[in-house]
Amino acid sequence: MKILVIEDDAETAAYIANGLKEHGHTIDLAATGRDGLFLAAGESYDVMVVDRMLPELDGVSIVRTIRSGGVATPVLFLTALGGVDDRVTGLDAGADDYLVKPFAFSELVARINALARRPPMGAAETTLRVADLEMDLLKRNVTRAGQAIGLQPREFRLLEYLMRHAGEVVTRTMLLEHVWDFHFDPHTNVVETHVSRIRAKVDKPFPVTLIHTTRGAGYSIHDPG
Amino acid sequence: MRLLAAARSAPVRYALMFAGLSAVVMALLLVLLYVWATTLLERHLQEVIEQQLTILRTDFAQDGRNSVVGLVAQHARRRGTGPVHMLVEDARGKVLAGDLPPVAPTNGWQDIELVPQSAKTRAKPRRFRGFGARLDDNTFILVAHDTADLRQTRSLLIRSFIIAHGLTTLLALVGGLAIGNALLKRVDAINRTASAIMDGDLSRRIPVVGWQGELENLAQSLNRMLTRIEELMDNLRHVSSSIAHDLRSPLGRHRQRLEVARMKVRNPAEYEAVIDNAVEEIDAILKTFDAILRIAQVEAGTPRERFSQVDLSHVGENVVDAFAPVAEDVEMQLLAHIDPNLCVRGDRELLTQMLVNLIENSLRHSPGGTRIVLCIERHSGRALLKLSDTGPGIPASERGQVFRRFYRLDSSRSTPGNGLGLSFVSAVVRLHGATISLEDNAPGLTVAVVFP
Repeated sequence: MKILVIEDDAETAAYIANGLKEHGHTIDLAATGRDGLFLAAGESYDVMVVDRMLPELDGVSIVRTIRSGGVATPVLFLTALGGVDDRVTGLDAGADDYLVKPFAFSELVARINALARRPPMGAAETTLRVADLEMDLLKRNVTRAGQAIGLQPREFRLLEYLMRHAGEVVTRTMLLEHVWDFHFDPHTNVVETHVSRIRAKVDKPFPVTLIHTTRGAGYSIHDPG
Repeated sequence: MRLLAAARSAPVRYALMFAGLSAVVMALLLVLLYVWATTLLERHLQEVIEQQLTILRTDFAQDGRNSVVGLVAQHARRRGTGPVHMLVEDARGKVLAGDLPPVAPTNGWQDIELVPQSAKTRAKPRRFRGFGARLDDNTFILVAHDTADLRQTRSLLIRSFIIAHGLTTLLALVGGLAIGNALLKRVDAINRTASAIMDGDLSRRIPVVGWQGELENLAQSLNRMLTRIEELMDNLRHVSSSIAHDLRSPLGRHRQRLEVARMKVRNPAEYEAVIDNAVEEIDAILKTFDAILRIAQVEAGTPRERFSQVDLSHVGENVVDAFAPVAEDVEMQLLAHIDPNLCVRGDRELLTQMLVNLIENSLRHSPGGTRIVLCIERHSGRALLKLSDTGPGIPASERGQVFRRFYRLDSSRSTPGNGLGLSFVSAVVRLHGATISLEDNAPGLTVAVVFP
């Protein structure tokens, strides 16, 4: 993927750029808001990572400007503070996701992947499928190898989110945000508990495991074969 | 020194200004009064003279010169040393009658001064004001009035006016200075208190005297402000020492482990384990910082700008939905009695986190078998959120303390947690204008949040 990183702190910028390069991405780096806007408006990227506090032109203004210019590239905001207001203003300006600094690199990668593979708007799927696991979004039922699996509404939402991002790593915080609308980190293992419940229903009775844990990063659902 | 300082202070300057102003006004008034009084007296004197002249003129017109001479002579005999004196001279300047020495005949108003020729040379000269007139046959008549009374009255007026003026000015000055000094003393007291506080003695308060209305009100509200500041400073001191302590220990531990890892050459797997452990440890510290920052943000009141209608019932259902399986995993029960569609004005995210913190608090400090019940209902028109558990509860003596940052019961020192969960809860409660109370659930704890 071609990714634009707008970040003024040299160390953080190098950390992000080198890490993403190791994951096989092409990175353009801009250290000021003005340079960033110039690149964002002129080139085409798959994802942009924009720091909120930037010299010359702040992140919110950049996103607002490129959005009004018709650029639809997914934007991931980086904020130094996890304030409620910061997130809302960022998303209001047109960012697609946000991440509070400092973050685990796996979190950044997971979110960038999720953003880049967003289904195009309007293309509503009705069935999600991973190996022999099928989810009918209209009838709201799940079958594996033809057997119906009974899920609680929240479990259904959790599995749906995993299946929509099949093959990608989904982090705990992404699940907390999208399944429970928790924009903070509870101390108890809410995600682990629910994932293990789904596993008991989706994986345990079957020979092949679909839901995998990526240590220190999150979960992913994929056909190991 | 003190006077000099007083002269520089605003109240005393005002006092001096007003004293000066009143002196000027008073002087103007007295001068006016003086002019007016003397004019009146002079006019009266002239009227007396004119009246006498009219009598003489009328007499002359009716009965001729001899009659006038007779009248004057008679007057001179009768009056003795009275204030009005007359003189009649013929055309050649010969005195025909009168009680004045001969004067050069001059028409109109004139001032006459007579130096007595008697033996008593020390006697004062007598002064008169007179009017001279020639009659039709060139006879000269002069009517004069002694001005001793007038002069005496004048000097009396001047003297009493000077005294009155001096007294008034003095009084204004003394009064002004006294009031200014009193004000200065009060302001000084406030100043001294402020300096003492700036020097670090936060317990100092401005002395309240009990009179001088507005100034005392000011002192009292300043004192209230100081009490609040002292509380906040106390809090801050407590928090900063707690932060230092709570973050120092994990950092120290962390350092130790790194040092141990460095002591000898290890295989990559061992290094990896140490690094992973270090990252975990640092994440925990970062989490504590995040919690502190979040509390600070809530306490600053900023989220209030984005308040909207929040379905509290929905928040409750969502959280119970998320945590019921978590409770089950540790052999507890999380139940809910939630009335539908109970709305409050607030911030959905913060209310969610508040409820999560309360539930986690119960989960963390209770043994297996505990029942946790969340009630959300309307109670006398207000939304009530109540979380009860059958855990160990909080001793009554400690209930007031648990909302303090980093406060942890002795019994829970060993359980995980940073002592910030309930501080956050209390900050969110305050932000929403709600009240929180901790009650005994016999056994266990009941937390009740009543929304406005």
